[in-house]
Amino acid sequence: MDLGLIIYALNLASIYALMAIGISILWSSVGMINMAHGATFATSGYAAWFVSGALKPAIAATFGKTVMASVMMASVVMLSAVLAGAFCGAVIYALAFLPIHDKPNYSVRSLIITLALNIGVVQSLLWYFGPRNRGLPKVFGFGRWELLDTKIRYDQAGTIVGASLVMILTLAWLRYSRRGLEVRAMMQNAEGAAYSGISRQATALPVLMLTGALAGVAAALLSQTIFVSPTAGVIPLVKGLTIALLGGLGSVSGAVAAAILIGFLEAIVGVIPFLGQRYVMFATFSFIILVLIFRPRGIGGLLDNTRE
Amino acid sequence: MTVKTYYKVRRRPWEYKLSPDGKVARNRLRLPFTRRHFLKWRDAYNPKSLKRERRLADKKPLWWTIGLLAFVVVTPFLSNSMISIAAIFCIYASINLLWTLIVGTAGIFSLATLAIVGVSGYAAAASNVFLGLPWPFILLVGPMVGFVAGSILAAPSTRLDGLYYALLTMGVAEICRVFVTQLRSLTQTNGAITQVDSFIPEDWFLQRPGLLLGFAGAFCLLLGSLLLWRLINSERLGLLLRTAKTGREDEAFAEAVGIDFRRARLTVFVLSSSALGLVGGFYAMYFKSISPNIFSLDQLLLLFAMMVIGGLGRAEGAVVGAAIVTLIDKGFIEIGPLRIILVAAIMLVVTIFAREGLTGVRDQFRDFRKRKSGERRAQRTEKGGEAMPEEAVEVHDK
Amino acid sequence: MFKQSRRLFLRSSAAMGVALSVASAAAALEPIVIGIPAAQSGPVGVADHQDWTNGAMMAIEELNANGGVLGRPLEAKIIDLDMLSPEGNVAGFQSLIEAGAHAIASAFTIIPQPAMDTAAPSGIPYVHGNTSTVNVDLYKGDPHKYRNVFQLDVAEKWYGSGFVRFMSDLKASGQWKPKNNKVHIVQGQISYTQLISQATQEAVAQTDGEWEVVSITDIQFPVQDWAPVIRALQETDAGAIMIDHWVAAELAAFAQQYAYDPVPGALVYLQYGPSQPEFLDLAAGAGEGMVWGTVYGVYADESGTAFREKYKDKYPGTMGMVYTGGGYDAVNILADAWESVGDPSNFDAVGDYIRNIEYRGINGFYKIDPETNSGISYPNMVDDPEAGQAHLFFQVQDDEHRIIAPSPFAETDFRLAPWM
Repeated sequence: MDLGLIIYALNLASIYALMAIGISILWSSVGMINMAHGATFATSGYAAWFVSGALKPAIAATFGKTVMASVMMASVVMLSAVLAGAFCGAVIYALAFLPIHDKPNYSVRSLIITLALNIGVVQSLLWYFGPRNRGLPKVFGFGRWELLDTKIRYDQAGTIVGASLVMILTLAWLRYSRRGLEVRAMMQNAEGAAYSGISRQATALPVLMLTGALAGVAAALLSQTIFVSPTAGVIPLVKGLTIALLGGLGSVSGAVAAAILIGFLEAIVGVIPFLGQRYVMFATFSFIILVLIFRPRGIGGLLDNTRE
Repeated sequence: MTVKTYYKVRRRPWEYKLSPDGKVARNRLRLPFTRRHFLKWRDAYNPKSLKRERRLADKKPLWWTIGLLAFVVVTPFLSNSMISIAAIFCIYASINLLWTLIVGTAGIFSLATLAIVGVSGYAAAASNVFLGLPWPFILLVGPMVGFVAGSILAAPSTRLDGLYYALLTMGVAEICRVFVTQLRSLTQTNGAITQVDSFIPEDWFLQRPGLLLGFAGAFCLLLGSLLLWRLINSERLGLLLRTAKTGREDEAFAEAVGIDFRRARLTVFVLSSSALGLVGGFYAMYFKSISPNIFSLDQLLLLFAMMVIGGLGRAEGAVVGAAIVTLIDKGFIEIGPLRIILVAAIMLVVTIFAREGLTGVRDQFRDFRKRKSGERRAQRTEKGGEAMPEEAVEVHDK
Repeated sequence: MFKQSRRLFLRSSAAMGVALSVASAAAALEPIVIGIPAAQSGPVGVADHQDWTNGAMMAIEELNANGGVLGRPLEAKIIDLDMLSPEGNVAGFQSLIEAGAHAIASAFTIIPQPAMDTAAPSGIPYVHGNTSTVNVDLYKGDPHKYRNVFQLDVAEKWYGSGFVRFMSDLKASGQWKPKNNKVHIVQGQISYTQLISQATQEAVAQTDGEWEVVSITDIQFPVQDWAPVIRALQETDAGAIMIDHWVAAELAAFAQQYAYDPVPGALVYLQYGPSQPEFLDLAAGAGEGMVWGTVYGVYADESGTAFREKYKDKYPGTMGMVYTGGGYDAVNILADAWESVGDPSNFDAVGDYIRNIEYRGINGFYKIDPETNSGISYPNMVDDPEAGQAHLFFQVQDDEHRIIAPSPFAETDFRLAPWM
């Protein structure tokens, strides 16, 4: 294994981790499996494409071809994706949480509603924007560095650094802010949190918006490597869900560990000559099944820690 | 001086009741070899008229018969494409019923339903195309493979719970899909096995007589699934499982009274899997081909949407949901992607407003009415709401 | 850019519908219905089907403007085809046949058997651009049953021999001096790409060492990142690289990553995917110098150029290079058949006419090979440029697709790519 492979694996892992953490936090605090995470991903990508396309002339006119222009462009792409993601989170809150959170069968019904949202949004995007993929402006620019005889593309490095930064910020928010404390209280014991006066309704909104924004960041970062399309969210959703489960739902560190494991597994399987790219999914799921047989609650989830 | 309102007290004046001769002893037909009756007739004396009245306490069998009869009588007069849609509906409804048995009755959250259908269908089709077994054996190979696949998949279900098991089964489906698409001998056809022999003669295939024959077969399949559903749910197995249905406490209780609910769950799982294997074989024969699309997540979600719209865990829900979604998905292909958005919208609205799908709306409305009438009764009571039922209290923001 | 293509398309087709109903009310004649099963909601092929539909609608509009066919207006009936599953194909084709379509014109379906089996019993003329061997095998199995199912282009296996011939010709002409005789194939997993890869390997084996396949890398749709593939390419360091994959967006992603990490001196050949309009837009210049081919492409000769201009007027933006012309030709062939047969409901007579057709469209010369019930490819099957559809090779030059081979249809010469 050489550095190039490690970079490739980390690149995959950081995108997966962004998705998986969102799903994991949401499940343990709000008790919702968010199937609309893929739709959030795709919508954020389109929002970033639309806004950056609209603002491109203005930025070019103001800053010309300076470094400032690319910095502005990068922040426009990121900001629009994050805002769109947060907005999607708010929509999910309004449709899949608020009307039914105190009604029977809440967890199954919220799963179904988010699933319906996912299907509906993906098809609406396809219907409105057409089947063509869209390219986002390359915020990290084109090119690569040579490091220890290995080529590292800008977008790979940018994705790894950006994702790690966002994750650290999120964890810091959870750790040090008042809201974060409330969310963690809900993650540990929802009933206990309710007894100590933490409102579920009031906490669910920021959590949903935060996880939506994480999906937005993932969309903006992944779109540096591939393109924005209506079905772009499917793979990240499936990967995010499986990794969140593999990590043990509700365990943030478990999710990160699982993302890194799967990232490396995919990278390594991809270069083994007789396996190759076509057996990547095969190997991933075989690995997950194996882990689940030996550790029924995933990697991070100790039996009592995870939510029942 | 307040005006007093009087409320009429009587039971279901609109309901049609038979008035049998009170002097004749009742003689009821029983199902052969069992002590069961065909229909749930209940007799009672009307206290006012002192006449004997007989009414049907459970009308579901009646609705089922009327619905299925109407369906089977009307379908042969429809257009060719409607007949195929009807047949596809029968196949989907059967799969949904068997899935409901696994998810609802056995309480195992499996997403490998279509994977079992697919694996058995592929095995059965391969036995016909590559080994040259004649077509009646497809109906044998299918269930056998389904039985084996079900037994293997059932093993981890006692160890894993809920979502983790769902993930595992999703992984199995994905592995099946990748495996089939990688098979080099099927590369030519994109992983599909084609030209499977069928109970529909070659010359009739996709023509009127063939379509009718196919529909007849699919309808029999649906009847078979309904029968299996009924047999499992109303016999001992269903009773055992209902004891351990809702949660940890129930499971503990069932264990304490000596019910081996795990074993019962596995039995239902394996039984349904065998039946799913039969559906798989039938599917391969009906279309004379089977493609890897059967393992795809999209197809699974479509079936899930059906169950959810109809109502999870109910036989009528599985069938009604399959009818609605199949009609929209296959019948409205002219409106393009809009129809998928329509399915999603129906799913969304139904789930937000109905707690157990469309077929649960009636019960939900009754509960609602009961609650409202309880609230009103509470307001009427002069003593200040003693009779207020518990449901009238909504805890705001628990 | 061709923004919001779907809305534009919907609007134009709605307008068409109105125009048609007015026309038919005036003529008081039953329209002739062409069924177009197009994937609109599926995960794959939506862009190609959109191209086909656009081309077909253009032909229909033109024909209607000239008074229709047999004095009757043409009408398109478009449905959303789920082309991945047997039930989807059956439902789609059945509904078209029952809606009274007089012919079916389809770009392609992934599993042809159910579609053909649904169409065959009614005898409805079914013309398509499946580009697949499976059709040919099915037809050979029962030529009478499938007599009216016509593959307008040729089976995909001709891509293989055509590519090897192209390389040898290019080398012989001196425009390209390969640095070695190695060929590296990167193959997708569907039947189409697999058969092309097999055919290429066979054709290479027959060159007696002029070329040699040294490495085959497998990829799986969807390709998230091409980094491992590019590493493999560099390790092999072959003189010619064949990316046997068909999804335009992923090929564009490949182009971007490859352009900054190229294999020096290698000829890069992509499968027909770049024909889809999005390739140039997405690659954003990175596709420069890459070669791609199609057995069913829009020519750049006089009629082809005229078509391209008309098409761009109607559907502004980058134009698809394969199925646009295909849909246009298909409708015109059907119209010819109806015009000379006189009765669109006489399916067998229409079928007979198409079987013996000699038609020069914008995608080449159409003649149905009785062996396979599909088209004829130049130079793979015949030597006369005007006796078949040319296997066109394009190169991206100055951010435009330019035909570089075969010579009778070439617009320009091969140009060395930036990394060569």
